[in-house]
Amino acid sequence: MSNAFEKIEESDNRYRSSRQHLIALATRENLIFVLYLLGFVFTPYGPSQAQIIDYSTNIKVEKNRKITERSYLIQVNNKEESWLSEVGLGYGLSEKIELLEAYVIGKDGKVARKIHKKEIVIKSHRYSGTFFGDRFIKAFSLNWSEYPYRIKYTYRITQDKFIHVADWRPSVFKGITTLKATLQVELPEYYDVVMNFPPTLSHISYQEDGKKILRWELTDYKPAKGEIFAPSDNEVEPEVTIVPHEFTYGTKGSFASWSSYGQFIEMLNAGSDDLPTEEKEKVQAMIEGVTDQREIIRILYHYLQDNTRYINVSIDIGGLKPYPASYVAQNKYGDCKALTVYMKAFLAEAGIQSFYTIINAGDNARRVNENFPSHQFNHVILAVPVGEDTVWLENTSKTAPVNYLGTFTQNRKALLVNGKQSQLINIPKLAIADVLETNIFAFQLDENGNGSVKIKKKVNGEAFELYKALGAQLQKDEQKKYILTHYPLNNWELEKWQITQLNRDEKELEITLAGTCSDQYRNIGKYQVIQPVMIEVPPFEDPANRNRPVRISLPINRTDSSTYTIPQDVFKVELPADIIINTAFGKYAARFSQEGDKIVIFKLFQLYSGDHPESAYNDLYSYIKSIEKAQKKSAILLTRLL
Amino acid sequence: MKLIFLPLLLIIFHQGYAQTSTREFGEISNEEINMTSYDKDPDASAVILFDIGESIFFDTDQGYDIRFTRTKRIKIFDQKAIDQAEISIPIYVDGFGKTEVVKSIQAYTYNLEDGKIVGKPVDESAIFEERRSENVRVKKFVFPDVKEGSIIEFKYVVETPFHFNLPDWFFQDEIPTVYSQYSVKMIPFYQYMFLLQGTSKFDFQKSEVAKEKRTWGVLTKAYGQNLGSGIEFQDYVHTYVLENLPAFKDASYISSIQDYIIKIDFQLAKFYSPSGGSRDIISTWPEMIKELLKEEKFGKYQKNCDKIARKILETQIDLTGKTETEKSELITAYVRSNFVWNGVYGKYASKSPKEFFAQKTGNAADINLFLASLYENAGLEAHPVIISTRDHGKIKTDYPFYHYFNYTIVLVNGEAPFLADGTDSYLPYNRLPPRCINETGLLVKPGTVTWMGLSNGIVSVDNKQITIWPDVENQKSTVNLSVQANEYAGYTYKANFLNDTSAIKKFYEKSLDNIIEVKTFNYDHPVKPYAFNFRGERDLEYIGDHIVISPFLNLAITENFFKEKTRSYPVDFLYAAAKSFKISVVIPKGYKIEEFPEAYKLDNQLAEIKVDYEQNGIIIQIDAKYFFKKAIYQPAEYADLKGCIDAIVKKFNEQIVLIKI
Repeated sequence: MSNAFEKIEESDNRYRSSRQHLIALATRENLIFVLYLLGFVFTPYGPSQAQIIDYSTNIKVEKNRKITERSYLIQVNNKEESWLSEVGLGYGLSEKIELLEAYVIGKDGKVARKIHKKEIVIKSHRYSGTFFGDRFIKAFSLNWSEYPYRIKYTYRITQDKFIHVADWRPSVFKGITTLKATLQVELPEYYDVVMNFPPTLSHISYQEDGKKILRWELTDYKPAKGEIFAPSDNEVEPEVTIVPHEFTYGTKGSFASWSSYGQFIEMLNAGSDDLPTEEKEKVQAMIEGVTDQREIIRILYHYLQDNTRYINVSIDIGGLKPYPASYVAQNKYGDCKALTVYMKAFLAEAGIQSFYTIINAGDNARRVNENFPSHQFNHVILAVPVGEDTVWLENTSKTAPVNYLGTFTQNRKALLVNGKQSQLINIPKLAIADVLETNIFAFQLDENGNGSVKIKKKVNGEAFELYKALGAQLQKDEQKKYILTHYPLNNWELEKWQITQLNRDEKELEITLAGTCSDQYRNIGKYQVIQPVMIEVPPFEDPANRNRPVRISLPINRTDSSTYTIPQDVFKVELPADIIINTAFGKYAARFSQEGDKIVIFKLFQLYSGDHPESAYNDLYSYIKSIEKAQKKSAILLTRLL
Repeated sequence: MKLIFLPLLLIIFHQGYAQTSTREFGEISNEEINMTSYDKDPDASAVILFDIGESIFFDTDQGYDIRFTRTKRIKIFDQKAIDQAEISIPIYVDGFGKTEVVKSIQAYTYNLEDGKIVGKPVDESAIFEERRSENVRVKKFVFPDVKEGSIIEFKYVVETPFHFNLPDWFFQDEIPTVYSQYSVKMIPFYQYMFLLQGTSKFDFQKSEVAKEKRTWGVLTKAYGQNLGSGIEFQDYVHTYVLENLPAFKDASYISSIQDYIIKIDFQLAKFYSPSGGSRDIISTWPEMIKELLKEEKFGKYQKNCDKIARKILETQIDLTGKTETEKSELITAYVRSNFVWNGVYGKYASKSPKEFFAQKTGNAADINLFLASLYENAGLEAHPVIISTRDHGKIKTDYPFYHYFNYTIVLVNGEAPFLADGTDSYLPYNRLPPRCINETGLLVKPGTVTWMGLSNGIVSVDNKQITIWPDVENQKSTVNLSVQANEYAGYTYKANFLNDTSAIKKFYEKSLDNIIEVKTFNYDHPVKPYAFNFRGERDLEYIGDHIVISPFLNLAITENFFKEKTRSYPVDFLYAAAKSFKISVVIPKGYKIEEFPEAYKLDNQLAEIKVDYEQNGIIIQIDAKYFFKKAIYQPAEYADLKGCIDAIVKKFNEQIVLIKI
């Protein structure tokens, strides 16, 4: 969990560029179901020979308190690495933090300087997606002028409330080797815990003075670099997780099973269904005369979307415990938990049962470890059984169609909270048909390659989400800028565009674009060449640098058809050969034809979702490379007839 | 730009100006709640119906503090503007017990419910305070129940003890504004200057004497005459109004929105003592310079550095027998390598020299005033220069405002005078980092007012040497690429790659496959050009029976980044830059050139562009460059500049065609 805070908002830059803005928008409808299990704040990445010489964590559980002591000894070799000397320690308002020591050790091995109290700065810990939270950062600098130097600091955090005993990883910073990492956990003799750690991590345990002592040590650990189409860093790194059998966090809970954890969540949520009378009346008025369950769900979901929005105010145990429905009724905003209990209360008022479902959201999120009941989630959705089927509701989105779980939550396990029957369930995946993107290009060109272009685009899946955000969140001029910057056409001016959704619950958008274009023929030797619109393939890394297995979380499915209408009897046209590449990972095809004054090109690109062993990467890579090659050879030759 | 002194005695003029009742806090009209769009900008997602600010001086035990009251009403038309409902009010805390205080916040969301306008308050418990930094707190709240059609309105009061901070006023915002008004009730003891930016006149402006009488000190009145030591006075009320302001739209390649948005700034100019006499607070540049030199965190800080500086020069930097240039290099290098810039700008030092030296880190002023002291103690004449960084807006040299400045650098006035900065290691000792290049800075030297131009006019050059060996048998080309970049071009590479060969590899993977043997040179050398080279591969492209070579490898501009047809702000590229390409393509055996692209030449005041092709035996040589001659282009030059870039995109992405013999 050391990178739970990767994004620290540094400023409220209201004038950031529209692209950044859009990215932020597309990813905003978000999480926050986060528990602050580890206090470290900074996880930048830089090239480095710097080393974490010693990283030790000592966790003690006594009298229902958890005392965590972390100590770092870090070597800084040059000025480029001096960011390591900028220390930020995160903690919550309800936790006690004590800085036990912080000093610089010079080249000579002697203490060069100690931190003074007045150098320590305390500021709010701000992170994206959260409007306000009661967490802080204790920050200070341990710089020195002669390299190499070492810094050493130790701090202690005391917590009265916790649900995990340890979430420990040997890495401190991305890309920086930890020479020695130790975790020592001291527990009361009769304190039951469940542990999870990879067999490669050896540990010892013994009893001492009526205490149970557990100890892990790892040497020379080099954190792996992130890889594309692979399990994420936090899934591949070794980790020790220890959870208490029983705990108290707002209410009593247990990690004995998924069922018991579900029951805890249910207890924590108890009373959150307090929908005020006026809202109940509103619900009744809205569904009056409607008998179809799906229709009722649709009506209420639309009401939720039109009247509420995502605002996260996270205070005290608000990382887990939702604000009640009455809070959302009052403010018309809330985080994922609050909006979900509000929606749940709506449905209950309409006589429809639904289930609070906690999930680990993200495009390439770490998979849930099914055999280890623990808190592995960061988001909440709602499951509404209708007959044999389930309707899924993402309650933080103002624009998602009803029953649409997008790239953020598709294809994974989640914990459905239903008393004793709480259990892990499968969230459906976006199948290849659910991510279809089609483009129809119609170029009308004169003999110099000038003319007009019309595009009709239909998008599902990820592109649907992107264009939906574009249409819903960006101003007209920002939309234009975005399209012009991101559309794979050269020498064109966008004149008109329109984003249409048949109805708000349609999972597809149609986008029409029209503009003028010029210089669409490249002069190459005696030829003039039309380079058909490229299908962008994802960038893949060199197999030589590949270490992880292949995971394609989300399939790609794109078909393009382009028609170039050129003046008749001006050119002799030579078409490239058709091509079909069919592999276990996907399919690519291109077909070229000429009908009268029209050149028609059809292209298809598919990449299937799935998991493959590391050894499969070479084949996947050559599939992608062969597509790139094929696209490069897809030029259409025009020879001017005299 | 217009400077208007607020005179103390003033002709009072009354002008009928209808204050419609709808600008009263809490009085929402049906017309407003029923608005569906703003007629002057129908695409706008929201509009500020009014934004009214007032600053007054009120009595305290110590004298006067400023009370700033702001009332703002926003109409939301659609979801795109929903984040307008998130409000942040920053307040300043000086760390020595003086602090701004938010006295009250009232905020309501108004919606139409069953035909009636219903207001819902922001609950006090939902107003949070964030600790942004040691000196800045932010009060935050979100309006409840905001949807399309809502009106949100807030009123807050901030009291400040900082007279230097008479609140400025932004008339313009990222959404359009129907009505923006700022009024300041001056007391006769302070005189401010104000500066209006972005427009030349107000839609309405009024200055009048308030009716109400106030007193300072003890008044003892007898027969209508004051016999006490106090005085009686009236406020002068100045009101400024602008109406129908368009939304401020951001543009790429501008220096800072601070330079263009419509706003009014205030600067305390003079203090009139109630007991007689007056004192200029800051009315001239010479006064400001004097003040700075006396200032604890500026002039005195620099003086206090001398002892440490002398010690360093005795023990750590050996300057004996060195030329002035060598001395300069050594001194700047010493500061750069021994101290870490903490990323904070600053015209004032943030700590004592002793603390700075012990902690090895500080803000720009800590570092550069220390640097100035080192130079001075090494026998070179050095003075601080205060500047405004690019994101902080431009300085108007006609008006001596303190708040223009946010960063301190050093002038070293030797045989070849230069400006120095010790925060950044990537540049020669006599170059400023890009963030500092913002027109002009003020030399802080007794007895003179000198403005130092900050841009050095030096052209940054990025040279690329490319060799391409097509291998027909394997259908691949082997490519050698070598890059040498000096000045800011080198700076940019250094700052982006941090000398990490894997980062270089990753960056160039969009042009080449299988990149190997990445080597870098001169990363630690501030003067020599930064260089790197590597070898890679590229698939051969065939068209018909031709081989097509893209000699520029998509490393020139491939797409025009200017999309708009016209432009209202200057284009600010920061520095003049040239990119040159020396490319050799080896013609494979059995092939000959079918066709070169045409050579191209353009040379005007804006730019120079040239591309030349030549065959030398089996080698095709391309000598090409483009050179943006100016750092800043005016809006009138935009169309031509855009045209130049079109030409570059065209000529620097052409191919060579080879054909079988």
